Amino acid sequence: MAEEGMSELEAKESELIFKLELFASLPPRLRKLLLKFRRYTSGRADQVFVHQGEYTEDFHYVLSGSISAYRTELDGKTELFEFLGGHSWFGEASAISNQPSLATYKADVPCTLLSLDGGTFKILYKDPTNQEFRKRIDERYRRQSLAAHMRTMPIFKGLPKDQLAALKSEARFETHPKGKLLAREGEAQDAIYMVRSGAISCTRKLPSGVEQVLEYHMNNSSFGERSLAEEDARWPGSYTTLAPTDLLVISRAAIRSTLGEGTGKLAALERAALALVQETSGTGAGPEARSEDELEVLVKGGRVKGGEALVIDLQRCVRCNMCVETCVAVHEDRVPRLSKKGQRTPAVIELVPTEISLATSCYNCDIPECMMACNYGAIRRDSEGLIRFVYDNCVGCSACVSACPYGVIRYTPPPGSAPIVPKESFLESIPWLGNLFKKPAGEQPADAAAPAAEAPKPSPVLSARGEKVQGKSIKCDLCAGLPFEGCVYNCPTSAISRKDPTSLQFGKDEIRTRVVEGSISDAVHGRRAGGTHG
Amino acid sequence: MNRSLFRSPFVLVPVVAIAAWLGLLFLWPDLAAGSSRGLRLGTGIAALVSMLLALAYVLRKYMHKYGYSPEFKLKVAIDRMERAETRVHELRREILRGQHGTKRAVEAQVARILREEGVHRVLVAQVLEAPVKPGEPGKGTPGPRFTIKVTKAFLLGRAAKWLHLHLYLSLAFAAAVLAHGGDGWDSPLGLVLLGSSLIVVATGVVGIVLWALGPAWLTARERDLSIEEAFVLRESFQRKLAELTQKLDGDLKAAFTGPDDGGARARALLAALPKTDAARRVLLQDALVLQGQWARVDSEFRVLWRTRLSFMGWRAVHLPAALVLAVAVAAHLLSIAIY
Ligand code: SF4
Ligand code: SF4
Ligand code: SF4
Repeated sequence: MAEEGMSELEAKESELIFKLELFASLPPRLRKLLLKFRRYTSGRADQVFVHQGEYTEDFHYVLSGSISAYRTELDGKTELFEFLGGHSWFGEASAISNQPSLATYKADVPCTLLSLDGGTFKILYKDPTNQEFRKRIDERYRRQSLAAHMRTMPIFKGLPKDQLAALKSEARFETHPKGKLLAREGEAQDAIYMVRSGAISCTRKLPSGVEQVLEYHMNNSSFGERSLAEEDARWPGSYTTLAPTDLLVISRAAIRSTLGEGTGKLAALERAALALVQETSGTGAGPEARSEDELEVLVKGGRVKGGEALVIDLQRCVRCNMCVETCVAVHEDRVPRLSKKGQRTPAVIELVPTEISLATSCYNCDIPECMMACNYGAIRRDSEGLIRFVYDNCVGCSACVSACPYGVIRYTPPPGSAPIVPKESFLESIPWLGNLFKKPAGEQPADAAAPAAEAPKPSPVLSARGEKVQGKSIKCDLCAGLPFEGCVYNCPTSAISRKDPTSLQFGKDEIRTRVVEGSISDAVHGRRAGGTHG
Repeated sequence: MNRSLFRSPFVLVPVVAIAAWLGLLFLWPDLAAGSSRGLRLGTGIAALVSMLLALAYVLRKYMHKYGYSPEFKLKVAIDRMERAETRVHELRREILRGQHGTKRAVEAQVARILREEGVHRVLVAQVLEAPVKPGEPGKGTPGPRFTIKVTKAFLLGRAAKWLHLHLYLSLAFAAAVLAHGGDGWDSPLGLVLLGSSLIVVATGVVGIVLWALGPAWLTARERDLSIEEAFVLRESFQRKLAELTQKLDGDLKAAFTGPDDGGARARALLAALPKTDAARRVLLQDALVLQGQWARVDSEFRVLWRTRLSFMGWRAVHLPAALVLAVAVAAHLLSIAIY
């Protein structure tokens, strides 16, 4: 694809890249994008490109050399996960799912890789006009990695290689939007599911009508094993997707026909399923008998989406606004990332020792819906697991604003246009007297800036990918680069702090009582833990 | 009640100062007259130092609020922070592989990473020894287990600590001022100094008690709306109502822009409007609804605002009195220098 303005070398490079089978089908628009954002990485023998558990969204295509991937299990054993020769690739699962890497990828011999950031890869993968690229990625995943991936499911851990290979051809990939009901409480269990990306909640209705969360599934966790252990297994609750979710589904019928009804192979797998069900549920009698586990699951519920919450202790907060004003001070655009008006959890729930407000500041979610919604690669996870915005790529489409379940992302005019809140002059900054120098009209207190309030304005500013920038999305960046988190640092009464939602609990007995009554699911359920809808 | 406002090691400063003063009075009762020159000088210096330290809180607060704190200058690029974090991750892996035998070696290594990446003034690392219990995952780890906790440096210390300093140094200041003046408060400047000192300290004590009790009080009243929500809603209703009344004409507009009568005039006008004038009726009805919503939120906001004012209002006396005191102290120092 020799383009106008390309040097001879660039034209040659382009020709070579698009001769590769994987990229050959890309239409000109996507080719241009790939050429703009491709990087080359070379590594010596034994160099580790990605570590297991590392947050990375980069997709790597092996141009030369070979790479081995190793996975270490919880019991400390490390095994070969997959082998990648030239013209194969890795990183697509993390790029699609935003989950940490499943294995450690290490060069066997000196290697050269062509790498794409997660944002660019997702554009190529999801483009509706380019099904061929997606098909190749999925096909290779099924051929190369699926068996290894399936082995991460406890039920298939001990399955011999040949049986696993036979089963993998029966697996089907499903993609569901947020809010899709996958299985209804009480219906017959007929398949095993593994969550490749996204999250699923399992809830049941109490006689009082209150919906109680039984468990969450994400990060390669699986459910439905009981369908193999018991003939008449029923779903203990209703399973619903909490975010756009990719699943791997293997039906009971397919497993039975592949391994052979009445054979020793099937009997062994059924025994493994029964042991697993008993191990996870204590007596195997179903979720009703799992009070301790339930407690853990429930308390962890707050973490399904949320990482750390910014919590204001309302018995301490004197409403001096110093937290918001500091947030303004640390950002050049003078727009606070923090709003004190957040979801309140009253002390009467007795989960928390005092009345608190969950301020609207980013939770750095385990399942960042903002990131999943962004089609421009403008949101990524850093090595510490924090969600960061890549402002050069942000076009201000505001998809993340609507996707964030906590309403913490704000929409502002594009960079370079007039700031919303002008910086105060020195005279204005004098306490009390400063009011005399302030301009009266149109001024909003920093605290009052509501999320997603401003309408997009046309602007000639372009993003790094060349799209027209309509605005900019902003959220708490934990005062990136500074030696403090301004809001926490400058609160005079220690009212505001960052807390793991699970640490907001009282004693377990107290929680147990509430679990039984089903009255605390709101308090621990992440989706309510920080929204502002004022 | 926020008891944390009173829990501080700085409490020892006024306690020691007052105990020392009472002890001296017990030994030499005529010290109360303040006749000793040495004592005057000592207590004067103590008062000045404690006042300056108490003022440091105010300085820190405004430096941060307006972005003038030197800590803002330490800001480092995000990619450097991320590089440091990635290297610390690598170090954690080395620990798991048993490559680091002692806590000291890990501390030295992590300090080197932070320094090399230029983030050592922004981040601090804490290395903890984590003993592995039998049966825990990671039992097979070849070497000792350490965890590395990397956090922001919080160089100057949190404002809450500085508030303690402000509070207790002010009490020490009051003790020192009383000792310094003895019974010689009859000059005008002496009276201003004593008066403003007492007002500043007394309002401060009242303020801190109100700060300890006020939030719970306000929170208990914020049943329907929080003060922030009430404020935002009130502004938004007001804005919408103003936009809507622009579309009304003549009498109808005047019903909303004139003196507040709780919508009585507007309702009367609505009743008088013929049914055929549907467009104006709809506009008027919308405006009436908005006005009703605004009135409800406004009354709620006023209650909450009054509650907030009642525990923040002490500052209206505290701050001007502190300014007067600062000026009087400057004049006092000047007079000593001149005479
Ligand atoms: S700085 Fe602290 S006390 Fe002041 S408004 Fe914020 S949380 Fe409340
Ligand atoms: S912006 Fe919202 S969705 Fe994204 S990580 Fe933060 S809290 Fe989660
Ligand atoms: S941590 Fe920093 S950016 Fe985040 S809300 Fe607090 S002051 Fe704002």
